[in-house]
Amino acid sequence: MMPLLEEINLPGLLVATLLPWCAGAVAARVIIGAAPLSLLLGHGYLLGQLLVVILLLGWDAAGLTFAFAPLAALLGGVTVLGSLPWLRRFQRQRRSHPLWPGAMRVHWRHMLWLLPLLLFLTVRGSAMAQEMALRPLFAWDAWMNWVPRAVVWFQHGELTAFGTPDAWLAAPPATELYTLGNWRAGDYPPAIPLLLLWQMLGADSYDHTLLYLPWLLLPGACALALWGHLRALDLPHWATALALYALLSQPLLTTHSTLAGYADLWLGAAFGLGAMALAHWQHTGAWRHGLLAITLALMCALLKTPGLGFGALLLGAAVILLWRPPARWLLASAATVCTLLLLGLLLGLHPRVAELDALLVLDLPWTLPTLTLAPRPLLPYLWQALFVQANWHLLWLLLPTCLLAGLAWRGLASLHSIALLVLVAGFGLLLFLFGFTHYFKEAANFVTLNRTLLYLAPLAVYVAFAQLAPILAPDSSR
Amino acid sequence: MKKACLTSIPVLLLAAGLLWTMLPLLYPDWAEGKQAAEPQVLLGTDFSPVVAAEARSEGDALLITRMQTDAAVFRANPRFDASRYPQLRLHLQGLRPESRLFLFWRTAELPTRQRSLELDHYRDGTQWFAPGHSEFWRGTVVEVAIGVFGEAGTEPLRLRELAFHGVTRERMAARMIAEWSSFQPWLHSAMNLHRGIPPAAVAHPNAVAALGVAIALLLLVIAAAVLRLSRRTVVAAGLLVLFLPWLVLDLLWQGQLNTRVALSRDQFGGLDQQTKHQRDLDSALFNYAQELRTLVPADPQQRLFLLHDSRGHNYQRLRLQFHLLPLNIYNYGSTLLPVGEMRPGDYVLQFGALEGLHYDPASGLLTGNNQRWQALMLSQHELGRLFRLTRELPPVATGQRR
Repeated sequence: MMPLLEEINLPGLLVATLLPWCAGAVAARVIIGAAPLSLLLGHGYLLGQLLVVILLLGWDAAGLTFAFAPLAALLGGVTVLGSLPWLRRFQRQRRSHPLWPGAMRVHWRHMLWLLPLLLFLTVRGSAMAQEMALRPLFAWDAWMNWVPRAVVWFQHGELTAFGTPDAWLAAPPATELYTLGNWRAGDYPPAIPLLLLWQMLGADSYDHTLLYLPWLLLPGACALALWGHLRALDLPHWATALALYALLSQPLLTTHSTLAGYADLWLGAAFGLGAMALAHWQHTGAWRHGLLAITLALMCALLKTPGLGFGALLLGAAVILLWRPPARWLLASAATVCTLLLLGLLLGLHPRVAELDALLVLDLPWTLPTLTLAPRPLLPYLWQALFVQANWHLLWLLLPTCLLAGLAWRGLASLHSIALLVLVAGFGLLLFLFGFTHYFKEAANFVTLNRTLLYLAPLAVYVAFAQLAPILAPDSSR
Repeated sequence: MKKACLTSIPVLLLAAGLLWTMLPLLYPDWAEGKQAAEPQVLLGTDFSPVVAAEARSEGDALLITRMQTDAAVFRANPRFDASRYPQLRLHLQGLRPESRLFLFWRTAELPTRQRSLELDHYRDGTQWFAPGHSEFWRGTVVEVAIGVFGEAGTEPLRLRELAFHGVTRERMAARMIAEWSSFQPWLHSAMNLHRGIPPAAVAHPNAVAALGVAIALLLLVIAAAVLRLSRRTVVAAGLLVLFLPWLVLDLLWQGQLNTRVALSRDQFGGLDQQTKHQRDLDSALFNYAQELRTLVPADPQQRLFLLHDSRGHNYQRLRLQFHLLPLNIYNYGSTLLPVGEMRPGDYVLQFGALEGLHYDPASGLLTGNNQRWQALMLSQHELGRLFRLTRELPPVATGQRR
């Protein structure tokens, strides 16, 4: 163990890992007001990373050289300032109320249900932590696309520009421009390399396995938020514990957390938690959760190029909650789009249609790719990914089962869920990309398909168990 | 909850029973009474070491302690009808992951013709394979051999048993359990998918579990209607029906993780970061990059062209680029670029042999793609050569840029 810890600034690394979490929890408290600790910590983890990204971008824009101590002091100062009103109120409330807010108070009988979950967390978490700490950076896109930018920024103390290889060749002498092994990676959004840069600054090293601790903690933060949101729906403790197990046990999620460095799990967390915040707004009328969802939509856009689309879905859903159109309009629109997508996918199975190269070419703006449109034979690959390969255990069987249970006992009212709408929209976006554009080949070789399904996995678990909450809630009729 | 347990467990057992009867559907060669055949078991001592430098027997096992020029072959002479035995169980230890494993056989009908089938081995010890998938697995088998090819490992090759089986439910189940619990190491594709089975496995655990759960859920719906169960009981029972098989799948995954961690501990445990790189798959590239980084200044304006004979995402060239960070690298192409795109003062790394690049040490002339540069060779290594461009010279002729 000692050689592992000797090479880095361990206190700095711990501060880099935990300070953003504290700052994010305070930010979550400021945005959504009083809330269970599980929600503050769960959402706070992502908000903290967003604060780090904004802080580093602002620091560089101000022309300052990166140094961890002043950066951490600034973030710490903002955290203390943001928490002062909360702490004062907390002190006052503590005299008349118990220490932990409602949803975190757990009766000993409920603890019996939590014990298997804690056992699972210990076994799985210990295996994941060991693997992460032992193995040098392994994940391909991490060392090809994401980590190199952080290494260069760490070494130069500033956000050195990255661009495409063409731009690199055409750059005049004395230009400081880097390029990466993947042609377009220089134009990727900056959040992931900035998160890594923050860890490197804290640890004072750019090459160490413990730099990737945020990836290890991310599923835990997602689980905390999931716990808070499902408990807010009055789902019993045992079922909520089962939901957490459903989320944390998924093999692909475990892999992305353990072999750190990819952006997909972060996007899945930001998108999923954003949709859960919207559902909370819809369920309780607490509009400030809408602000949280909008903040997480921004995070989606900063994480990965597809995050622009998924962030837009969150914003669209927030508009729907503000606008409140009749539910039958939404159901009819969603049903129409789903039917058209399904028909298109079935059409793609026809051998003559599958031979078509392009019916239409769609030029997207900015650095977005050009899409070549035609129906593709996606369905067999989707079937493999969802039900045959071992990526998700039985998640994609759990989801329709819970939806059917909701429909059977609550009728169409069970479909009046913004989280479900966002999930269907997210799934529709993926079906469109892989089933109707040239990205089909990325699905057919299974390079990207499952990674993008990871964007939906946390939300799928929430939607499945949220469907059951009205049936299992203690005050529901039997 | 008690009622939910009392409902879900019988329903799951019933579904498992139905799956058991449906097992033949998973295997296309089930028909024609093959399941009736008794296994043909050959112990290690039934074999002779026909290709080996040194061999000995130990109990029922035959050991090849030294291979003969990276090859070892065990041979035996059974007699059975191939069509009745479409699968085999091999117990062979000492196999390296990189070794190639083959089954050879001859039949009484064509005794001069040797057939072979490469076996995709997935673990050390007991493994199942399906020779029945080969179109040549027919006739009366009178000679079988197991061949191992590739560099020898530290352990001797220990053949304990080779058993040919017909298709019965018990053997199918045994084979599935062996395949599902077989170890699969971390691959770079692990970020993209987790198959959960070795190649050519008989069935996917998730698909089987999903089928079983779907049947159990249907049975649960029927039971709920007949027994007039409350909806809360039905939902709780449904969750149990889903999550008990889920738990089994997760235990398989946890087993994989535990073995992977144990291997990582063997490889990297107790080491500092530098030593971990020395133990990693690409240690040679890491060391070469360390050497190169002392020769090229880490100035962001100082450009380095990494030339390699590959296209697309090549592991070697991309990994070398990563280890060379924070050098400013253009990692595309395999030869010189036109004047203007390369400039005096740029560094050029020839990584591996390149047909399109030539250097004359006497004149200091670096040529390729019709481009000519006066260049200094700063380093020569078995993995590549590093040059610094000092002066551009007129192109030798106009030509197509590679």
